[in-house]
Amino acid sequence: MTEQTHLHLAESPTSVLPPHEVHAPSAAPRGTETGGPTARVLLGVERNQSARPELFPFRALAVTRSYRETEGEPIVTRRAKMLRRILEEQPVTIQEGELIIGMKTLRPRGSPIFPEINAWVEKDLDTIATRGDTPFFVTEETKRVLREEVFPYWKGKQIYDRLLESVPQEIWDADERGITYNYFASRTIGHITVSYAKVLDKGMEGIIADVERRLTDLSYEDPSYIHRKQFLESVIIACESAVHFARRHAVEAHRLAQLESDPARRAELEKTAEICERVPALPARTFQEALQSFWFTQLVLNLETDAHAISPGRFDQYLYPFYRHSIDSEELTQEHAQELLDLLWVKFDEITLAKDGGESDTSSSYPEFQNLNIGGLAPDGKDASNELSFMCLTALEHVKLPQPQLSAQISSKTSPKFLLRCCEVLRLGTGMPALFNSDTITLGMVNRGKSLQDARSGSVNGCVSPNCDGKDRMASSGYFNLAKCLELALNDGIERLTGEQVGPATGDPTSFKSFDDVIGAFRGQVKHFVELKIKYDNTMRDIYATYCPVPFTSAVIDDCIDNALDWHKGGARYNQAVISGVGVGTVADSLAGIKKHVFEDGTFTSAQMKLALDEDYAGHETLRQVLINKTPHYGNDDDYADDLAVLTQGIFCDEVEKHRDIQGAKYWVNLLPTTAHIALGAVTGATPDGRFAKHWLSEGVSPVQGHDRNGPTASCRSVGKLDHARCNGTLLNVKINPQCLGSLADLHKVAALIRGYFDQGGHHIQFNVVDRAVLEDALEHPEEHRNLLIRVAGYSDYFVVLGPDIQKEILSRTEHNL
Amino acid sequence: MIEGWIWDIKKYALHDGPGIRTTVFLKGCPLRCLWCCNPESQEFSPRVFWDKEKCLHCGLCVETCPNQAVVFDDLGDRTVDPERCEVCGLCAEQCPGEAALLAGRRVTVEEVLEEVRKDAVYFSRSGGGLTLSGGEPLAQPDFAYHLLRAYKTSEYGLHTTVDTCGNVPWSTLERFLDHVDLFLYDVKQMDSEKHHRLTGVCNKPILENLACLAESAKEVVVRVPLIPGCNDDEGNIRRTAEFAQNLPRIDRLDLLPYHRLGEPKYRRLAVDYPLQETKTQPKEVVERLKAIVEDYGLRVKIGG
Repeated sequence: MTEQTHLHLAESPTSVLPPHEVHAPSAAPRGTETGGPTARVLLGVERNQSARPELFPFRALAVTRSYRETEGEPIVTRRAKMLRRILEEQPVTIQEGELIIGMKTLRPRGSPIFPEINAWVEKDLDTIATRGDTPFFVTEETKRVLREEVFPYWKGKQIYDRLLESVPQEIWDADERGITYNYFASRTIGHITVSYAKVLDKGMEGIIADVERRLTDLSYEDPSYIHRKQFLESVIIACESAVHFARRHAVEAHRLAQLESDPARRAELEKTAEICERVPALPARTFQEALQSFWFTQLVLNLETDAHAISPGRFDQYLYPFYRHSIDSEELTQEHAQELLDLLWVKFDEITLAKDGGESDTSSSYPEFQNLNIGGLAPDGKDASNELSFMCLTALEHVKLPQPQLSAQISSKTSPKFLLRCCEVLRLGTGMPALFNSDTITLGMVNRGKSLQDARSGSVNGCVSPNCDGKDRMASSGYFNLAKCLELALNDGIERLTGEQVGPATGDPTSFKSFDDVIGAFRGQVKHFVELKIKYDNTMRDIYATYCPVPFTSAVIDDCIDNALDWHKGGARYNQAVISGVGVGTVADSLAGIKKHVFEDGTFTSAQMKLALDEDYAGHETLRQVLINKTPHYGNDDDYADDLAVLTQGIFCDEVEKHRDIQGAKYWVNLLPTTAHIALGAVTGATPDGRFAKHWLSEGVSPVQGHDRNGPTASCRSVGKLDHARCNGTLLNVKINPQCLGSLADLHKVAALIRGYFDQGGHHIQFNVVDRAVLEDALEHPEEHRNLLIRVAGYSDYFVVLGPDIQKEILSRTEHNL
Repeated sequence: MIEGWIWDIKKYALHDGPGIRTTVFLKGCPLRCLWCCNPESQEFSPRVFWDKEKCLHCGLCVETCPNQAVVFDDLGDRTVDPERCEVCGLCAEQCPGEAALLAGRRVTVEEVLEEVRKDAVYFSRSGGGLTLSGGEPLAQPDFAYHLLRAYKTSEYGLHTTVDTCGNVPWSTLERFLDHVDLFLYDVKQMDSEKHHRLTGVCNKPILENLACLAESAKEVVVRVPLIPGCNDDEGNIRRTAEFAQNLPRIDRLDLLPYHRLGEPKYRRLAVDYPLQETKTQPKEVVERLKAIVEDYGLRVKIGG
């Protein structure tokens, strides 16, 4: 009944999963006496947890076939037809007990391949199953078809080939030396939050009607007439493809219903078939229709490109009307609504994406940054939390899976009850929900040119980056190593580990007369490498705008249709460009060490300092200990060091904010590392905070690991001194002992800690609530801790699947005890 | 300029009164409890901790000492001549590896308040505030009084707590009544003779003061550190609970289970830990004692 591939895989793409993966009766009871997760939810959780991440070739084959057939056609048309082919050939799988259906590939936690972007899979095909970080299994059969039918076609045709033609060597040098880490080379521009509300409210048919209206409005006098027309027509193809994809699921659900002997499950499958027949083509009416329509949208986005951070945004806002309607009309009970939500949580967790080796280092994770926001503000400034916000917390409690990344927005208007419930869920130790300050988000977005109402309805995307739901193009382009800039500033632009001139000659440090000279040199290095980074970013944005239109993404982001302009070309209502700074804490403590000991106390000379750094502190342990123990450090509520962190942020922001991208969007800073503080640290020489060469850097805006000795209030006060509203996101990790969340009174105190941090303008705080002993045991006996979730950066993942360096770094973070 | 000796300021203190608190630890104590977990707090004057493991053998302490009191022997072990050492703390100030650490510094009321004020936002969000602990905070009555009064009357002054052993003249306690919202009051042993053996003083003034305080303080919580073999027998706990029950307005008695977290500090002060053989009591013992105290109509929190 569906278009079969030519593959001979173990399972037919359209079959249900093999019986050995099925443990529960097909129609599970709805709701249990305790109100815990139902059997079918637990079945899904177990299925995901035991699933082996695997590469599947279906998408790669479809893309290759489509591109072969459409050569010579306009690129927008080719891209739309590509999507249509993918969605026609994508296997349709309905798993045991599911009520929300549709998969990114054949099996949970499997990844498709995106050959039109980069050749890395071809290079890594034999090693990806055994690599240290995020391995993906791949069968010999899959390897064969990829090598025979996919890879040969793409020689010279990938985005990566365009990049090789356009990006100068000096940018690769900076990238190789860990001064910058550039996104967009192995994956598409990401950080997408679309207008799911538009899909739920209008349906694809409504969107197509909008496009058709816009087509009739096009003026022949418009110099871009033909481009706009081709773009709009491609959007129609993309929307129709999504509808067709859903209807293939309707057919399959109906087929399975015919075969089903259990009448309850048969009824469920028939209902599912009806729903997939209706959505996303038409507006959703019920909660289940809305969830299904949402999920198809999410899947199509995940298949159109390999963008990371396709985040659901303000989920509890756009789904609430459908929930309310279903409950009020008694079409659905609250318990069943919870079960549907839990089942969707399982679906989120099925999504993974294979990344190339380098990116695995900087984002060591399977999770795909599907950041789901609850709470926050309504466009009119009122508290937005509702019943569904609480139910999302319960869903996390029920499934305890790494995805979706649950983020609670807390505003000055958030009720104590909601915040307290968030703190209660933190006790589970999953690192979720992360807490975000809606008031700072709003202030920052207004500063970045968004209307007040749009700013309030904004969400956090990816790790910690605010964007306007469904109206934005906010993509961070990779990482910028501030600590490396300091290394170069303290060595006249010469990289310590190689002795090569890498940055501009900003002066011999032994000739510096004052601390201001140090700052001047640092600023000089930052300025130089920011310019280089932006040269790269703008080139890549141009390449994606030219060679990689995204008609489906454009269909569901506001103003792309009105502007008749692709999302990659700047068609969204708002556009901004973001660069992520790494190592603020390392730089602040290093500057404090130099200021105090070289320029104030004269503990040692700058020549002694330089020698110690050159020799990676070998034979200079006394000096190193002075830097560690006799120096004010960022994170202890001591202005001496905190002011230097503020200065570091200011220098980076000043240099970045001078620039605009090719679409006229301004550049902004965010301060988050994902796991890049490990990878970038590994190529950074010794720094004057006592850090050895190649050791990790500080993480996010968190203090240097172990340097904050004054408890979490002091640490939060220090971090609160940064200008969070000026950043497009900052990340603060706090590790606390589970005893700190023991009693109700303790929960109130953590809530007060969060409120107190937000009173100071802090943007984000997340907690790892875990005993050091448990982490140590997990290192020893990983097999006994397979389900130990831990907050890594702006996301949670299983501790035992993380790379060894990030595991050690997490252990090194200060644990706040009683 | 009122000055006093303190040995630590701890932020995010969660168990020294309501809400998020900053606890200031004053130096000097009239008692010498065998189980004292902060031995560096007992003397009014500073002490130097010495942690051999952290020593870098850099020799800075030898160079720095104005009295040539610090010597390293042939084996690399450091000795300090007590005759010569004036505990000026210069060696600790210089020591890069923090092998030598000075416990105790002379500070002004204003200096302490500046540090306390920093967490005002968390106090107001949580209903917390300032706690004075020790040593025995009331053993430096002027400093403690002025610190509490200055905090309480400042624009950011909120809740105040004093953690006391009660072994001070009543006239001292009386002076604090207006500026203290909560007294955490230790009762260690009801038998005066045993009390003397365990703490170096008899318990008569302590119990008398508690009785007066119950009449006049805003709030008093009685706290009993449970030391195995010293005071955690049912008899003593019953007598303590009975005593508290008969005092007006006292409705809470907290039990603090024994721990050995202070033991390494003894080593670093080169002093023997008096309770070498004592082991922490099982959780069930504490729970049983809790139930006993509750029988007297008192609320009980374990862990203070």
